[in-house]
Amino acid sequence: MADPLKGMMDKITSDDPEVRGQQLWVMFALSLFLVAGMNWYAYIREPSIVEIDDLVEYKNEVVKVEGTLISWVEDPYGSGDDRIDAIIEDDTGVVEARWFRPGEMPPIGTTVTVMGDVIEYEGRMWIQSLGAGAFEWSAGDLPSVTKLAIADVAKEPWLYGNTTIEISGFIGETITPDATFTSAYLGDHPNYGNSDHQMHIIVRSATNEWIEASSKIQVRGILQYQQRDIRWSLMVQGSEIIVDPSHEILITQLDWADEATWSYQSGQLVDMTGLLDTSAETWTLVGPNNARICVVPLSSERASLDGQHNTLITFRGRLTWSTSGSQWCIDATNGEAEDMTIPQSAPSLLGLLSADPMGLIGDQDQRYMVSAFVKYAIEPSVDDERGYLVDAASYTPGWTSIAATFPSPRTSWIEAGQAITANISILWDDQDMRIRFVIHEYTLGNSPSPRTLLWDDGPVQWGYTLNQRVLLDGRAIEEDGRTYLIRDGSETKILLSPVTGGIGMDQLHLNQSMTWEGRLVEIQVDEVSMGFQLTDADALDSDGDRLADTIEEGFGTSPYAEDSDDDGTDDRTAYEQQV
Amino acid sequence: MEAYFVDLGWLFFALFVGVLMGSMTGLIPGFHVNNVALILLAVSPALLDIGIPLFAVAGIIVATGTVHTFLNYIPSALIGAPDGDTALSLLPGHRMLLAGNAARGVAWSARGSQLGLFLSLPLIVVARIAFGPELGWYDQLRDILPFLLLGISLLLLATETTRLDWPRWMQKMTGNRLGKDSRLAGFMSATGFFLLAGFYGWGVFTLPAQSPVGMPDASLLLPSLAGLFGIANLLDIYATTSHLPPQKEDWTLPPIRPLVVPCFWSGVAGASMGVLPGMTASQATVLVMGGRNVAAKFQGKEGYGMDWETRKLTELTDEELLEIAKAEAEGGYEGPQTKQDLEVIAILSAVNTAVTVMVLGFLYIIGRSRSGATLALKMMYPIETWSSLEPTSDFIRLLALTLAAGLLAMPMMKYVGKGMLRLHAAIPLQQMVMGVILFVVALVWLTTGFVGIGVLIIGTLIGLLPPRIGIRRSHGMGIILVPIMIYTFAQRFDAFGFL
Repeated sequence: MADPLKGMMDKITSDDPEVRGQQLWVMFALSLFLVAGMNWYAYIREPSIVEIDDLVEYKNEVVKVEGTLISWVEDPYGSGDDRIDAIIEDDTGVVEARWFRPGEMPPIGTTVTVMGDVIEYEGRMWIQSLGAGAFEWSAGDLPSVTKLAIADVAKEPWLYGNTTIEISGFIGETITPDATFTSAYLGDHPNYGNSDHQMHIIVRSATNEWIEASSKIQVRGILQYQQRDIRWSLMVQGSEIIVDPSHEILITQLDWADEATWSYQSGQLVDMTGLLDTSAETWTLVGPNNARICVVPLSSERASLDGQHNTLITFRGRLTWSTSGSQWCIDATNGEAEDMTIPQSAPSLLGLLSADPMGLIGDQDQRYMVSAFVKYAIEPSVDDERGYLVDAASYTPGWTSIAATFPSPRTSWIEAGQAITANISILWDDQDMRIRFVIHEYTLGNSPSPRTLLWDDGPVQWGYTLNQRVLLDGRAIEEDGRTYLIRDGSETKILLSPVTGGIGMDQLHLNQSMTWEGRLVEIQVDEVSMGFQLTDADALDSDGDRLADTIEEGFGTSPYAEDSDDDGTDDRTAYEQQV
Repeated sequence: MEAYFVDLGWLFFALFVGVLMGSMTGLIPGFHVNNVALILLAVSPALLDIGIPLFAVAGIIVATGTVHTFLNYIPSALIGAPDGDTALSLLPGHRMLLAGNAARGVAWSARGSQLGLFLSLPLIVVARIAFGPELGWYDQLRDILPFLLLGISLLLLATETTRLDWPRWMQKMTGNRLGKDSRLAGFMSATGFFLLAGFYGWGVFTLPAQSPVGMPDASLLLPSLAGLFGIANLLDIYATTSHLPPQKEDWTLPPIRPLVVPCFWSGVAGASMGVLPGMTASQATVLVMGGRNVAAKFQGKEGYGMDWETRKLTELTDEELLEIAKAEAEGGYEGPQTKQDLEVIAILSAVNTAVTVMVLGFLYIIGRSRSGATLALKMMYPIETWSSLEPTSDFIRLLALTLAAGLLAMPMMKYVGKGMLRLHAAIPLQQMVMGVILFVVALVWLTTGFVGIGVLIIGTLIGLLPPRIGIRRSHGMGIILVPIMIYTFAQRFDAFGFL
């Protein structure tokens, strides 16, 4: 073998100027031809279909994957990319296909064949496809759809698990046109309270139109079991939601007295009745106790409304949050007004996070408006404090809880269950190994009512209300230089720290059995034991007439009116005169 | 205290296993440190199961990489089988071998690697300041990356000093305006070869590769580089050299002082290349040598400005150059030719080692892997980047292992070199070359199958072109640079979605 090889090498290494140039040209042309052939083969090669579980063995190769289209989202980061991220599932696993310059998407549940490069980057793996032909399917691949009522699914959901179903119902939340990964409930009655069943749906891609809460819609998607939430959810695409235009939607009338729950209607069309104030640049509706909410009319209606200054009107618009005024507004412009945003609920942000955690965490400069509730009370401090945001004012099954850092300084308590609208960013907390919201600015809703404690509830139950405002019946006594609140007729007592200048310890109230309001805290009683204390406490006085509610009830005056008999003498003075 | 000694024990374990593996990868042509790293990555869960901590596995990879850069000169120069990083050292080293000066080449290479290792350490601190979160140069660098790669590629092509004749038909067509001995013809040939290699690289990155025996992470880069830089050279050696002269046993290490400045600049070039994707020690060497030639020209020194790789001084042919080297060796004196060759060997080794150290540094500074070994580290466990004042303990540990492995590799290089020379004496050169070729072909088949063999053959054919045209073989790095430039430009202008 050796000599032929040497002979061949000698032939192509001729130094004869007559043939050297020609040899080089031939070698170059042959190399070019072979390289072109190699590239041509790489281009026309029909990649083999591989199972998703085996993709790890095909990194940087072009492969085909055959599976069911579970969901897809267009331009997932809202960055203007001409791209669709689709989730494909086969019997062995799930993979994301990033389709650039995409073509038409088939319905959810279609069996598709996806061709693309297997990309692996920082532990994540996906298929990257380019051009309209990357996704293939035929008419026979379209899913067979089962039309069902919500009640059918509620009865035996497992029968329809991982299959494509179509149901109709009334959507519980407003869906904005560009929202992705939004969750909502689909009821079998337009009114939440009258619905026998609620079906959880996850809208993965943008609807491109407003879908109002209580609209009757028809959705098609894949029913999947959500292990985390222990519930079944229907995965649907925004573009496949069909709204029934003949159904009239219910429009909520906002209640002035219930501002803490306004956030439930965030983004929805609402009505609000009040006196229109057009005297300032920002127009407002004025309600009882001079409560206000800003209104943003259509520019075409501004002139006609301007003449109705100080008139009682009912204004209709979408409930939005003014970032410049840090307040709720009713926006009739359908989100066109400047500085208006629809705060996301914590579960919506969680939906985004679960869909693309790295994307959201990766951009720490991105700010979001979130509307939520505070889980545990946060005390005033000059330090940033760690706490939690939740999606409901009080505990409900399936409560969503997210760690958050509250900015300092805070001069007053943030109460548990208090509504909060916050400007946040999202980061990964290395220390706690979890996702955390960093709150930059926030606006709090009204403080929730204090919770009533019973002596018989015991310390375990009381522990759930630590640091919260509570109501507790008892009698204030002084013993060994300490003040206690003692349960009448027993020796059970807790430490009491009355507020300075309050009424509970004055001559009129001392030693009386009354309802006390204060903050329940836990303090060190001696070297080894802890005990409860009611701090910042005073006798409950709802009308502020400096006569405790309990005494007023016994005396016969109203706890909610300073001068119950309207004789010009307040209730306390009347009681003093009597006793 | 006990835990401390256990950790220390594991570090010593990693050091010795790494030295052993590095010796193997350094000495066996085609068996790159990246292969060891990826195999270790694949078996790391099993190693963890039997109680070997991941930091020890990482230590093995790092120590292997360091020792590899000390020893990979030996097969490159003594049996003519380089990897991509040492391709340029082939010709001066081979000339040393033919002149009976192989031992001196090994000694100078050892000194170069040693200096590259130590001089790159302060550069890590400089790199941390420049590319760390405070100055954040890396983000700015990423913005201009495609232009930077294009600029460096053009610079590498522009430094091609070979003068060639234009094809006769062109001479006729232009009335001899494009005539003989043209620098432009050399540049155009180099550009054509660079683009051909790039076109080849595009196919290499696109084609699938799978090991017929199930070896993990099959990559067609191995057969392509082995073909371009390895087999092509081996075939030339096979055809042109039939026997070797007896080698002089002169293992004296060269003095440090004259090599400090060129080796320092080697470290700087290594650092510059270590931060860029697709750039290797090979490109760093070309830059260093180019800068050295420019500096020599300004200082008025004679004898510089030659193209070290193609063995061409302005007026001398290959044969004349070899005769000079042999005459110098036989006469027992050292002329400018030998001195230059030895310096080139030292600088190449310094760059090679500096790039390995800097690539490890950049893994911890910018969190990016620029070699197969660092990629394996990154995939093995989360890398805590050096963002505060003090480096992370993991980085310090791996850096200490690098230094220790470098110190152990110095004396090893001498003994291994001696062994290799004895092997040379025992086995006829042509049989040895054929053995290496067969070994590489077998390795390529085992890792990438028949597709890899096809790629190897095409790469070999392309690799035979540069010495026949008379241009540097390092332009073959277009195989990596051109695809990367296409990707980065496409990402910039087309929102391709590539990362």
